Amino acid sequence: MSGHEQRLRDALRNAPSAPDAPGFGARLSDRARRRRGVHRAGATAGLAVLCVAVVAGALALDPRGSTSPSIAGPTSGETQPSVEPSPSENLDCSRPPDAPADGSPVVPTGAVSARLCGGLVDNGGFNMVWPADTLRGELVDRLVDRLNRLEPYVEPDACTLVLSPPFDLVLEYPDGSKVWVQGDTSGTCANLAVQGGKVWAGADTVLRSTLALVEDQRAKPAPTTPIEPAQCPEKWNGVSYTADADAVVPGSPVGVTACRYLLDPPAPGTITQSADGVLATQAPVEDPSAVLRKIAEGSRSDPCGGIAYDLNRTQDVLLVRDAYGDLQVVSTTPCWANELTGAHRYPSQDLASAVAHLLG
Amino acid sequence: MAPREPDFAEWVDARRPTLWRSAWLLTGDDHRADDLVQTVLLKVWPRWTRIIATGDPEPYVRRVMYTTYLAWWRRRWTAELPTAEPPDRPDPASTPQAERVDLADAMASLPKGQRAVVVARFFDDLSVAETARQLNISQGTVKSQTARAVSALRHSSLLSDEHIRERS
Repeated sequence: MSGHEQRLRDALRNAPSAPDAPGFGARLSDRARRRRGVHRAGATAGLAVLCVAVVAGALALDPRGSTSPSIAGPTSGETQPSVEPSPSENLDCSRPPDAPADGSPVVPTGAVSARLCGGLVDNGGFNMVWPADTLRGELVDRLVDRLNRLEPYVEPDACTLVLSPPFDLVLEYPDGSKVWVQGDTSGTCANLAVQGGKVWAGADTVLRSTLALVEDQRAKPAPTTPIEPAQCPEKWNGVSYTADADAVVPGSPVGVTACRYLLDPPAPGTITQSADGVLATQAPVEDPSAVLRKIAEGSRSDPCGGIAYDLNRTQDVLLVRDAYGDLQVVSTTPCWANELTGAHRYPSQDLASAVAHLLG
Repeated sequence: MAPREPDFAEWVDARRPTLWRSAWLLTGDDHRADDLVQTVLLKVWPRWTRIIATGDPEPYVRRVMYTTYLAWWRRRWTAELPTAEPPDRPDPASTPQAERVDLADAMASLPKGQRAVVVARFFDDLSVAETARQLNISQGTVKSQTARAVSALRHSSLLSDEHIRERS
């Protein structure tokens, strides 16, 4: 073993000791047992929901029957509102007042549009925003069906803090009314609340389903009109990307902006990754297709041998906006892989130089 | 069949301190270390009876920890983790606080794959072959990742000759 390896081995022994947690094993066992209980209860509840759905389906075939929702959505039959249907052209994200209800099913059937709302912060890096697409038609029915198969949520003793995003989901009905769903996908306490009322398990599956439906809706050909490049945020930590966006593919119609930030040096004694900074300059990229090709030509292996770079300097990035409005952030630093883009490559020196030249 | 819970609870209580230290070296943060250990143990609980039947459960649990750690951060920027405050650090016991800050900084400078290899090889004392099995990578990759990590850390304050002299 080399001297450096021995030093490293010695240094790792300086890892702090675990905090005391008497009875941790017993508590964890109890919690795991409860989770299993929830799953079994959920399966039973699912069967009950299925039975209800069969009955409801039979009623739906009967023109005298009703599928009235039990919470603040559209209603049918005797409680059908008299207003003319007026769903929004583009579903906005303004939140209706909370209207707690005991909600079963989770949300009313009959929604005509849906979208993810709300900004969020990805604790591991840049801010993340949801796709701005409004789901319509049969895709909304599939989403509502997914929601109405959720299981009741049972709060565990303690929550793990797996870093996963929260989301808001808004559903709109023919009369213009909305139902607001708040999801928290974080760790073992992931849950979903409807209109500030009853809480359900399965927020993570709802989020995945919604994003998949957005992709399904986008299966149609994308608009081919020129894409306006995005404006660079004033603050480095305000740079955002869109969840599950995949715009950085050669040939995609995109608008690209080069942004340069002056990063603050980390304060003495802080961990080296701390960084903030302000926008120094920005410039639209005249030929986005050439930039996309350069990104695709990046190296799959780390050219820097894993050596971290100095943050006390400027930072150039590219903001890529696609035809759907999705944003992606592209690194131009050779040691910094583009793991959040579709490229998954380390930027080439050629790309870094081209962007640096553009920004003067 | 439900696991024989006393065995699980006893094993967790006995091994949690060591697992937590490995988790801290992987994540560099007390809360994330807590989170990683809890998540891993909750994952293995349903299979405990089968795991314990194979003998020592620790290799299996550690493998789940490495793979969970790698999965958590697989889609994040590897080089930067903007934080307003440095991660919480425990009070120093027998070693200076500065030593742990250096350790966290140096480990944070490594890509996650190299960090996992370093923890497996030099903290958990696994052989190259065992590390390869745990991380589901080839032995050649373990060797190359180890060499890269040691090379990178050689340039960090943690292992620099100057740093060693300052500390001594």
